[in-house]
Amino acid sequence: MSGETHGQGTMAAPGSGVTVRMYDLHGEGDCFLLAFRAQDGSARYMLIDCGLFLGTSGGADRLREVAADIAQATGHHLHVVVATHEHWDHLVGFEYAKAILGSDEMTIDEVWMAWTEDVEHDALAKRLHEQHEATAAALVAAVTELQAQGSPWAGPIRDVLAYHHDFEGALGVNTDDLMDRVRTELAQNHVRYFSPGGAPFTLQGVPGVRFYALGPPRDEELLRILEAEQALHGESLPVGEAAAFYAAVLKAYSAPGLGENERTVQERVEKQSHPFGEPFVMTQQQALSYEVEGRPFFQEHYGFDEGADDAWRRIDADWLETAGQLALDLDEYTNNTSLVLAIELVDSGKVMLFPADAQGGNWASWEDVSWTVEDGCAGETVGGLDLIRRTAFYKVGHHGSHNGTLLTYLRQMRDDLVAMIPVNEVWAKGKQGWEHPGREVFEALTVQTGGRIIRADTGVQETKPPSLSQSEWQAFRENVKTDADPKLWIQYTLRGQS
Amino acid sequence: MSSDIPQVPRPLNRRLRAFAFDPILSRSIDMYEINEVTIELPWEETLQAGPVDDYVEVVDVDPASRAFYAPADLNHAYLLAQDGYPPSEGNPQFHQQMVYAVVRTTIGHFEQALGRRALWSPHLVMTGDGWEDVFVERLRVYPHALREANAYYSPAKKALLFGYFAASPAGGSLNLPGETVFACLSHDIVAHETTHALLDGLHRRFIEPSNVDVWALHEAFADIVALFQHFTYPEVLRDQIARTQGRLEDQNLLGELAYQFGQAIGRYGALRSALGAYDETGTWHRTQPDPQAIGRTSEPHARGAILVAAVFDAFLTIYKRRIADLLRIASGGSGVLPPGRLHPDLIRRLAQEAAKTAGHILAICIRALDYCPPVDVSFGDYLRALVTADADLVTDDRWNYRLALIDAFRQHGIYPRDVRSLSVESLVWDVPTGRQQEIFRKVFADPDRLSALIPDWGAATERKAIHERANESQRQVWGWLRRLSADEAAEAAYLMLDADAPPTYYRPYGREGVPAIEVHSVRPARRIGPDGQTRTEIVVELTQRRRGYTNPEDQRKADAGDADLLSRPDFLFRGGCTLLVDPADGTVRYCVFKRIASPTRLERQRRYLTGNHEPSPRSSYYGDPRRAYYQQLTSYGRGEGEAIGIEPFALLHRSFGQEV
Repeated sequence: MSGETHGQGTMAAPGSGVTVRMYDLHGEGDCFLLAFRAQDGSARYMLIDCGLFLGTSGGADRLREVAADIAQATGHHLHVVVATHEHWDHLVGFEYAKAILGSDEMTIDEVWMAWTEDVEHDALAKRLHEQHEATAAALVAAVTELQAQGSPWAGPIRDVLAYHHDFEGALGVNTDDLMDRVRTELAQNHVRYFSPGGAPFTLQGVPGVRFYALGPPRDEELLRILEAEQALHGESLPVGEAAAFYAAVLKAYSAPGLGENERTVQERVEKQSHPFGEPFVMTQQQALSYEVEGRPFFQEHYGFDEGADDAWRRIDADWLETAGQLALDLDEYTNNTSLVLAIELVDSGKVMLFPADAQGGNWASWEDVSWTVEDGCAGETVGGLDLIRRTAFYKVGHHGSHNGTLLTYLRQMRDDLVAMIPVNEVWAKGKQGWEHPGREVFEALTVQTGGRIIRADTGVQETKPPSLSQSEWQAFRENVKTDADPKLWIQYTLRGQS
Repeated sequence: MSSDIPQVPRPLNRRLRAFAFDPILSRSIDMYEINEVTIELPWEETLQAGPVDDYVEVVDVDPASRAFYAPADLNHAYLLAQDGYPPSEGNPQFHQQMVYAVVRTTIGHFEQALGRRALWSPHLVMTGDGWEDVFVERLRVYPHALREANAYYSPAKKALLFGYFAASPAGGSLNLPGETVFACLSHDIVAHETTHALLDGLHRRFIEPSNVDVWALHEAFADIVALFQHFTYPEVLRDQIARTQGRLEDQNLLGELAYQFGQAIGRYGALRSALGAYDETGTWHRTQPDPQAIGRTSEPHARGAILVAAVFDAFLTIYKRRIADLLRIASGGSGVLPPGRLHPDLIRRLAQEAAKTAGHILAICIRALDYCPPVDVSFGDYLRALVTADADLVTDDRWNYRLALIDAFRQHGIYPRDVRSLSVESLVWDVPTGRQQEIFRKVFADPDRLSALIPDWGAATERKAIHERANESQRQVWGWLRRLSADEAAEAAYLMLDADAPPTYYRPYGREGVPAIEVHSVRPARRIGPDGQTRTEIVVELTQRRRGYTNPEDQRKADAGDADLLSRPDFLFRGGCTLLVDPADGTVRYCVFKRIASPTRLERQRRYLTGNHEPSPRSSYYGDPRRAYYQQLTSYGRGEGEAIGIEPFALLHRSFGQEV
């Protein structure tokens, strides 16, 4: 290989192009280390996320191993850390490995986040955050109650909420706080927030690479705003369906972690969502003793004792099952706040796409985004789809699940596309019953890449795929490098030549 | 002296007021006048506050609001004097009244069509000795159970749960944003959910998703009953017909009426689009049937909607035939009506014909249930059941109901398997051969004992007693079946009684040897046709089951005796037959079977359960509801997990597409 240079770190930056290292976490999570070559010949490092599904056995140790490797690879100097969104499988490494990543030896120049994290300066971000808090608190309370009632939904809903909430309570910090710590403790408040559009960004000393933020969109509709929004701000506007549900849950089951302001708003929503006026309402206390024609009606026809004969006909928790759909909505919303980065190698025009966990609503917004690129004297407009069409490397969204890749965009990418999937199929299926990677998505990837797929669990396939010639396959294999023993990573170098 | 005063005679009927449509719809000036109907129910002496009677108990508990609402006492003098509470969205007692009235009406139609009392499906409890059937007297109805846009029947709780929710701010033009919409105030939704409960009472296995038609049929049947029941209110029809003003030939209006089904509630989107759509000028047009559609539709609501559309087409065909002479009279022979409003007498007669036709279709669809196989039912089976049931009862098919049904189903691409042609004769179920009849005579030998199997299931008998007698009859028949050798059982009734059948066949609880037979049901089928002909027969349902595995390799191993696999099947594969027995001489007139020993049917079920279902976030995270249903069933059977588990109908309404 010509022209590779070494900074102080053990990970080499290629002469032209970018090297992407995917860490194998023995579970599912994103952790990508990128190496760029600066003008002065030294290496610049970018870490995109560091996390693992919470509760994965041996996870904390594995993350620490990975962090140690990152420290070595970068020579204890990370120029950028990107924290894409508030899910444990992108973040928890920053907590478990804080002794390494946050140590005095380690320097982190700045952290990049999506505009949705800028609660201090951005009013919309602040509103979204508050809403998000209330929704999450309500859903956690609902699932806790479902579990207490022995509902078969409790487990599956918990698993979805576990992307975001720490049910075991072992961590002692929530995703919100963790983002904050990354900002303050790791990066000493050197934070940059990205919104789609405007002008692309360049790293100091690395003019041959441009960074574009494709998402998250600023459009509330596209972020799937959770309905509680309208009722939140003191106006007696109609209460949406979901809002009425959340308010009811929060009233019924005291949810910890809800701010004072939030609580007042929820109380007001709750009052408004009662279907009938005061005179008609009986409390449980009153119902216990309510009699008609000398017989206690509710005692007889509903019952309040645990062991009563017809306890199996009661519906105390059935209304909570709608939490199932709402948990999926919350998950989709959080995924859609993902910071989506497109990295352009200027000379060749090749693009690397890192969409984190962005889902449909986020992807769909990219075709409306454009940037003005100052190139010499003239300014050129680049659109989101232009970048898609030039994508030569794709970090597959959301572990290859069905909702993490928009197939119409995938099919427009370059036909020498290389895909990297941070997936662990056995873990996903065995532990949670999830289909990662999704069948349809994986088939489409195989077609588009011709078989140039790198997976965290199984690496690269042994034999040459039928759709590629010997030389094409050879050229691909040459740019793949696997860690020796213990196998911590697999990496790919995207060459800058066309 | 007071003893000489004659007693006041008991009333025949009780009248209760209700909304005919979703009340939101009545907000539009157009609909206001016809939105109230007065439902007439037979007088129930036993009605108590709730309302609670022998069949139903309305218990108004609202857990989301942590509230209870006082039960309505419909026997209050003031209420009796004014046909119950006046329709009011803000009064929970009216809601209780309405939901009670619609549930009872639906039960009434069912009982009338079947000619016997309706029973709810029993509560199954796992005891030390196997499964036990516990009789459930009353269906429980919760009018304000959920805080969401949903309503469902819970087979586990033998209950109907209705939701309420705020109309979305961007909702239809008739909704004031933020108004509360109540599912229990939609006549159609209440009838639909009640029908799920009634069907479950009759065919408990029709909620097991063994093929692509099963859940779709449940949904379709519930829609059919709700839809046609709606059409039996002439006042509603009169109003619609009156708006026609010369468009009678198109018959759009009835379809349009069906279209408004559940509109404010936001459900039945699939049904609505299967029926028709509004064009740019605001005129509603009936959708043209597409026989290819069924081949590419597997989602239960959408698939069920095709069946409903087929039945609806048959209804329209017959309705048009029935009013042909009225149109000729009204137009002086030209067939074209003069412009302007229709004569009120004509409107009344047209509405009568429509209501009558709807009533007949409803009855045919309900009667067909007795002619279905006990398990793994398909749309094709249902068509054959429709034709056989009607052929059995109505010898003079003057209006050609049967042909209309066959033709409508054909146009929608619904065909039964293995029939030579689509004539009535071919579609009627096969009659057992001479040899098969000989074998059956061994079982059903004694006419006296046969008649004793089905004592009176009429209004005079208590339903609990009926349930107990039925259980006894089931035991009797089971005893008689043991007179058959394995070969005979296989030949006549397609049962597997080989002692050396693979271990995957379930044996009687705790025993080995010959595979178990469940006498699933013994009941009378008694009806009277339009020409006064009465017929009674005994319906006997037999079923067997076998452990099924999604991996064919696992199936092979389990068949060979792998103990671990045998303890945890992936699904249940069932077979059996429905026998229609003539009590006069023990002849089995029809045997509607599903072969338990059929490897193709087993493979078909396996492929269905593992097939490529449309990916969605929901199925990615929560798994396939079909597989989940079987997992619940089999784990409860092992004593793990609660019987109260996955609610198939709640699931159907939440997982398969949010309807708008």
